[in-house]
Amino acid sequence: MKVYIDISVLTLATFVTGIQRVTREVILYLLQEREQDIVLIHYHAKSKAYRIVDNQLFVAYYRNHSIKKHRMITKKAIELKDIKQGDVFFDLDAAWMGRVKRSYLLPILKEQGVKIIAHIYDIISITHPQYCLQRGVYYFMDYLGAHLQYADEIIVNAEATVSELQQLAERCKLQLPEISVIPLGADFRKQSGDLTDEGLNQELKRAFHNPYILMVGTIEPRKNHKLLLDTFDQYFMDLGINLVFAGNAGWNMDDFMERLKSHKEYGKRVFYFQGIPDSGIHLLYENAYFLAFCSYTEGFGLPLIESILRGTPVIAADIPINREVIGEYGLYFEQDNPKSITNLVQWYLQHPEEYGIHNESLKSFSATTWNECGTKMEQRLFIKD
Amino acid sequence: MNQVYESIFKVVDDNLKQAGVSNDYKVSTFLADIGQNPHDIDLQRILLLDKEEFVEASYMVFMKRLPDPKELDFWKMEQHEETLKKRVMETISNSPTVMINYIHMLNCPYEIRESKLKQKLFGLLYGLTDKSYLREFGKKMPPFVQKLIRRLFF
Repeated sequence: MKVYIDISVLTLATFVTGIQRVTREVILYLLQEREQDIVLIHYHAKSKAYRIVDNQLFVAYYRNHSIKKHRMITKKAIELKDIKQGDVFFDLDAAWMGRVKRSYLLPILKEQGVKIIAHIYDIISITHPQYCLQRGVYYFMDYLGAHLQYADEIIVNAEATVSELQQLAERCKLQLPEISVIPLGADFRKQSGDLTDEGLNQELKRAFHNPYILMVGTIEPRKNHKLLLDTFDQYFMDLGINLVFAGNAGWNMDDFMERLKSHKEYGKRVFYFQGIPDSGIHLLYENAYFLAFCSYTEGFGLPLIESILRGTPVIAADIPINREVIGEYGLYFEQDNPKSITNLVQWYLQHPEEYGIHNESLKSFSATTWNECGTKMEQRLFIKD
Repeated sequence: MNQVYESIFKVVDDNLKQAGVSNDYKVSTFLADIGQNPHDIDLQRILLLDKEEFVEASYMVFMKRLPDPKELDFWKMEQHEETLKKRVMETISNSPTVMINYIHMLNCPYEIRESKLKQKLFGLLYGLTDKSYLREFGKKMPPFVQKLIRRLFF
């Protein structure tokens, strides 16, 4: 029995964040434990077939960056008919952005008796399409529609996603396949706090001058960065709090980016860092007064966990997924309410001893590790029917 | 089978409406795209669509993008349905995007002239799409070049 994983999107990605980061970590774990049973495949349009990815070269690239990425894709082709009854097709990558539609692929695999397991990170494209690129939503509808019909099992990372899938299945009059909830790991490789870029170091130091609230992640409508800037304009100016945004500018955010960069406090009390190295992100987390998580909706919200693991307290919108992921370790404000955030921040500024107590309590937070996440995934993939 | 996809489309459409956002896509386009082979596109379902839907679905299924307003206006000028469909298919099958990605038509009722040499030459460009370092290089280009690259290679 072999487990096939299509990594065509990961292999072509020019960045490793979000789903790419998860795909990489899960595969590295699976290769460490079951290298002989894992077949990584990459779609090669010119040969109209998948090509096998060399497992060892995958590890060499993603663990050590010791080879060029494209070298891991071999010339050895694999046809769909080679994936046989008893094998597992594990859809782990962001495959909806790839060339091979699942509405085409899955019926063929199903017909051949292949067990299909999908890792559904979230269904935000369906529940909150207004915050997503419509082209991505279009592809995701195909992907999800196919998996809801053909997958033998679905893996999600949160109960909140199970509940959304159940509601969707009800509306579509569908029987859901078995669903397992496996929380994502959060112990990404340790980053050194040393930053070699002196210019960036100086910029960061200016941001550290006052206590600051940090938002990390792609700047996109769903993350609601606007709320924090609104709150700053209305209330934070007088509180002596700085704002730091770190992440790439995403889609439909031109107005926000213009507002941010033309802000009268930009570079003085409002900062924006793009494309900074992991060591810089680490420093930003470590020195932040709070990490803010204002999203309207989330699939899992790894920054919440990453922040708490670094001992930085989190203020988060009061939505079910945030409570599920960090529970009592988070401090919650009413969604989309600047006054509610301000009250929370102001209270902790006025009660430093309470801030210290809360920070101390973060030490007891225990996050799922990639080994635990990988072990659970492995169990689901290699379970005997 | 299509019922599930149609229901999901309806959920998304409703959610967009509720948020006051219009849907760029038509359900007919989405359904015409379901189950299509990455290289051999079956025209049967697409040909059943009316003129406007046909143009949108053809662009989306073959070129992974909607026609831009200029293209739409151009196709609107063609009154005769069969002529329109034939000309759209001819244009698409000779587009660099389709050639670079080795896409062909199945069940095409029209006789379409294809330049084999052009197909071969554009096919050579496929190698440019398949390397992440070339994509990284493309991302460093000015926005209008990036747009052109995306349009050409999808």
